[in-house]
Amino acid sequence: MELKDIVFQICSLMAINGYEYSESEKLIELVGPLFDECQKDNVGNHIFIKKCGKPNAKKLFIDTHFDEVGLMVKGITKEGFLRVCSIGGVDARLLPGAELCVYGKTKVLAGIGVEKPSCIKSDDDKPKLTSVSDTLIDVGLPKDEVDKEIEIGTPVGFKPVYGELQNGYWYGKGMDDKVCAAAVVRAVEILDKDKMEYDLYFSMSCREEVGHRAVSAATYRIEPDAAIALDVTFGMAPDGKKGVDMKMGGGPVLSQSLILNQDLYESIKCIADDKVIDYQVSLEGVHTGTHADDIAFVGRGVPTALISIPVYFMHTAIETVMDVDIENTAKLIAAILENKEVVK
Amino acid sequence: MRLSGIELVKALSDAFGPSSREKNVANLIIEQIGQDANVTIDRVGNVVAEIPSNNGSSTKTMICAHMDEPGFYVKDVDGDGKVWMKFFGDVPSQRISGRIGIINGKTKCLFAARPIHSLSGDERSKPTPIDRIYAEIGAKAKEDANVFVNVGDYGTFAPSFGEVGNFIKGKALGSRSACASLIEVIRNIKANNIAHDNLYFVFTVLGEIGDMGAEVATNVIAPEKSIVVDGLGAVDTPDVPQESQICKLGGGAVVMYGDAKTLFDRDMISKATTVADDNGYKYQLVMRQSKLGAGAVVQRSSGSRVCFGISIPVRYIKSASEMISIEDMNSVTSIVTGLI
Repeated sequence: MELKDIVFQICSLMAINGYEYSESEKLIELVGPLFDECQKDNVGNHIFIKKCGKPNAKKLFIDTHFDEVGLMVKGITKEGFLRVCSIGGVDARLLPGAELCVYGKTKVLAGIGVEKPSCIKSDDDKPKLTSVSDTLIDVGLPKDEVDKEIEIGTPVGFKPVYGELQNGYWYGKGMDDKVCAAAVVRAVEILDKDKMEYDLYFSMSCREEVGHRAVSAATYRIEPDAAIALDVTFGMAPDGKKGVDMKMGGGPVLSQSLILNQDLYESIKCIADDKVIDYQVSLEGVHTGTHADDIAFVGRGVPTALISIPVYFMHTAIETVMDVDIENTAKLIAAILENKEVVK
Repeated sequence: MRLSGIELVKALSDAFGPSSREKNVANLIIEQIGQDANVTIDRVGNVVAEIPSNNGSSTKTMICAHMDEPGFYVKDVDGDGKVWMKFFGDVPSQRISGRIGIINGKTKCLFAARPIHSLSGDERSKPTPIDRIYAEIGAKAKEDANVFVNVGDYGTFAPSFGEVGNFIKGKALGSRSACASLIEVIRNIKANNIAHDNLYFVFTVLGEIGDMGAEVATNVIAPEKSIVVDGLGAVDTPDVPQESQICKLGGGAVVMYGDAKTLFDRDMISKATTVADDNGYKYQLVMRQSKLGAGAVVQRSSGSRVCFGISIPVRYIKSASEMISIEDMNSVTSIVTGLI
């Protein structure tokens, strides 16, 4: 499959927290054939396993998170509009006029985000944004028709719209963090199976956006010898932080932090140098804010590395990535899986 | 190709036509009505479709709608290839960030939104100032960007026409559905051999920034009667008191008593409501003193005339997702046809 198709198809899957299994069949159909099996656990993780076939092979855990931020219906007005609450960090600036998908009982309904009209705002509120909890969703239907499809708890997400700018910039919803999952899928595609040195446990974990609640369950289950967490990071934009945000197109970002394993970091860096794969380095201090923080200290502890892909406009419906960064991340992951020096 | 109904509205909504750059819309309209009227383009870019009187009357009636949409022009392309813009047509800043735009009708761009993670509490509760929103086109640097986008280029929201429940939504839908309505009126007249005065259907330029197009058209044509068709913002959402809602989607054509600077002709208003009542066309009466429409310039330009305004209710006006009811649009078409 074309890389772009892999990315857009995986990212467009409905994955609002709590509904990670709602398009499970589609996901397994898409990704499953590349792996030996897919395990689903009790919390919502998808764990894809590919064995290398070598005796006493070490277990390498590669984690990405499948879930994304979204909204949930908390009420329906008598006019048929929906009141919502946020699931994860939804940005109120993006909702006025936003195109949304309301995942109803039998079908997906189109919805538009509605801000509080200024005629009913107090003077203090006039310059302010409508908060997520005051935002309404218009599905263009009267209440009796809304009631047939939508109930309290119905999830609402950004409409999946994907496209391409110049120079291989791709945009759409859910790149955080499914673009990393797409990179792993790509890695497995290009990998030479005979050279594979580890049993790969690739998790598309859930509940990251609501407080990293589920990755430890996957880690306990797998008991890996080493782990690599993949997540997105901030691409350097005019309104970004100089020296902190990463360069779009600069390649995968290898992180160092007090929590992350230094040996693992060094050997990944060596592989990237060896294979002449573009990469960039980020200093994270202590916590990385990713699943790496959680994986590292599960059970007896897991040597953990963090690799990131730079993204523009995180948590919007137009999260933007660069094709070369995904391709280089995939190449690096494939090279890691083929190198027996990484996991000791 | 001759389009009608929802297909016509979609084509008009998707067409690229920010104020002063209306050519694409003009061409689409000409393609649709060229065989039914004598079409010319005047000195400012208005499309004027003339249908001579067939009842011996020498009265001139002008029916106008504006064909431009709010948008932006490019004021800078910086060293990193980011595009900085100046918006016009009163687009509120909270409806821009995170949306998709289009420059010159062909180059896609994304309106930047800083990640919520890096916003302070105060920044999270306020819209991004409009002059801090840039557009990303994926360029590596200025030279690369300049292949596609240059200072002085124009842009709008990207086309996004679609259905939402019983309604339709898209960019520029308020004014363009009014254009669609005029096109349908022209066809109705031809199809039903309706007796009429000298008719001038005018699709005007610059409606979003002060209706100068309508002003010129009025000066040139000097009609005795005029009908101004447009979209009117509806605030018929929950928690809004009845008297603040202005008009309702699905409530039918908005027959206007007046706008900020005009009181419309009482005879025309009662004629319109009679036509509607007799034929069962849905309408709602609205007095809107804060709406600035083309009515004022049309009424006052080059002498005085009988002036009448009728509108299509539009939710979320001046956003990428303007929403209308196609039935309201059809009511406007029917009432205007009846008035003629």
